[in-house]
Amino acid sequence: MRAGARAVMLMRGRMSSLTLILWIAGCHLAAGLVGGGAFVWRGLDRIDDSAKGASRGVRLLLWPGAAALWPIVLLWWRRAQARGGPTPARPARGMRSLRLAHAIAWTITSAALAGGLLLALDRRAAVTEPAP
Amino acid sequence: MSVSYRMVQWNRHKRVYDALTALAVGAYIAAFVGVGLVVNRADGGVSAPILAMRALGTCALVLLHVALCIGPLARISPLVAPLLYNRRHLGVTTFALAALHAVLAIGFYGAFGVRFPIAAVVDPPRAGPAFEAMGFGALATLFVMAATSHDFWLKNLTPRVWKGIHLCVVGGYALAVLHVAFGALQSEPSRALSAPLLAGAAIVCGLHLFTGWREVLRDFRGARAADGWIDAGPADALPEGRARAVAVRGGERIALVRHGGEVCAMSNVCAHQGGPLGEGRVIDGCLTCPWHGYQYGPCSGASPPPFTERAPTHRVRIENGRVQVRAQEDSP
Repeated sequence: MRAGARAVMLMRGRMSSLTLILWIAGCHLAAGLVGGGAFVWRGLDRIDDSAKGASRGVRLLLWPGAAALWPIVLLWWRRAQARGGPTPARPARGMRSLRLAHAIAWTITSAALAGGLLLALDRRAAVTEPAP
Repeated sequence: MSVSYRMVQWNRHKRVYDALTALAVGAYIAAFVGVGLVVNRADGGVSAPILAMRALGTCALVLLHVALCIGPLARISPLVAPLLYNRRHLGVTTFALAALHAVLAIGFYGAFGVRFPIAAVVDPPRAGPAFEAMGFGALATLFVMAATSHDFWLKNLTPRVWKGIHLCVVGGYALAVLHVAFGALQSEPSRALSAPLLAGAAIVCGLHLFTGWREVLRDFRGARAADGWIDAGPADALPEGRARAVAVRGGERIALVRHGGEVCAMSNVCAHQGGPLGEGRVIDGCLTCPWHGYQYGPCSGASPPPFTERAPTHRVRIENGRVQVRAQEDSP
């Protein structure tokens, strides 16, 4: 089905937003298999000294990640070509802010999860309750 | 990390870890299916594909709980730290089990019926929260975690960004639990599923909240620098061959280490995954990260050859029996 016809379907409410997200994710991954594949087989050695002469197994292992993050890896490749060499390694920093982000993320998630679980238990009680 | 990449840097510890994981997963699935078939023979309720689907799904969920508990437990007790070493393999195994569960579910409920399998996941023919979409979201999150688990991603995305991406597992975990709560739990009137699900969520969230906020409070209560120097406590409180982390208000923690009678200081952040060097100890003359065993010269901050990692060092002085550390890193 053509993209235009899909857009019309969505506007008429025949395609849910979840279906649209899935199609976008599918298109992203399909493009990533090509772009990410080109990166792991051709560009990998140019951006990272440790990847020079990497085995086929390593490249296959990195392919799914490159397919998911293909815009980023293609940007790295382009930058390495412009620089004429691999990107220098950067030291680990910012662990303090990560610790704070971790605590906040778990606080928000715990609250949302508690609410969701209560709702699910309430729904189950309504379903399993005998009819009057 | 700074030498050539391999698919897996195998060593004895990893082999034992993976063998035990494979044994545990195999035993769980065999027991689940075996018991299920015996019970099923008695009441004739659940078909074999559904039993396999449930075995894979619950195994993935249990493994996700275990993987998520290791981090905070290692912060509470150093005895758990060895389990951190190969945790990435637990994550990849969790994804593989969850993916098999999804393939079986989509195949069984979609391909053998009249609906397009993917549409069966995203457009369920009923009202209420779509537990299929929650499961799909959890699986997508686990995929990103597994696909970017290799050290190549860690190095090139930088540890901070990589850790940030892997923090998405928090959302993935919530989606996985809600997937069960709005799915299988709705048709299970007994407490056989709800009790462990609620207990698991309480344990995982409780452990992360406790250790997470405790670490944040430690950072906020860190020592202030006076004239560019930080008081790091009495010099004789640090035993030989051990390290200690000093929290600095508004900055990264600093690792103090005593080796050969000398007290040295370097960044607390391991160049590999940002592990806490201040919780490590001196092994073979090097300060060793408790997470994955990366090593640094106690006073040079440089990894032994052929590795090229380096932790920034800090100047140290002893004044009136107390250790003082320069807040500013030494220039490389």
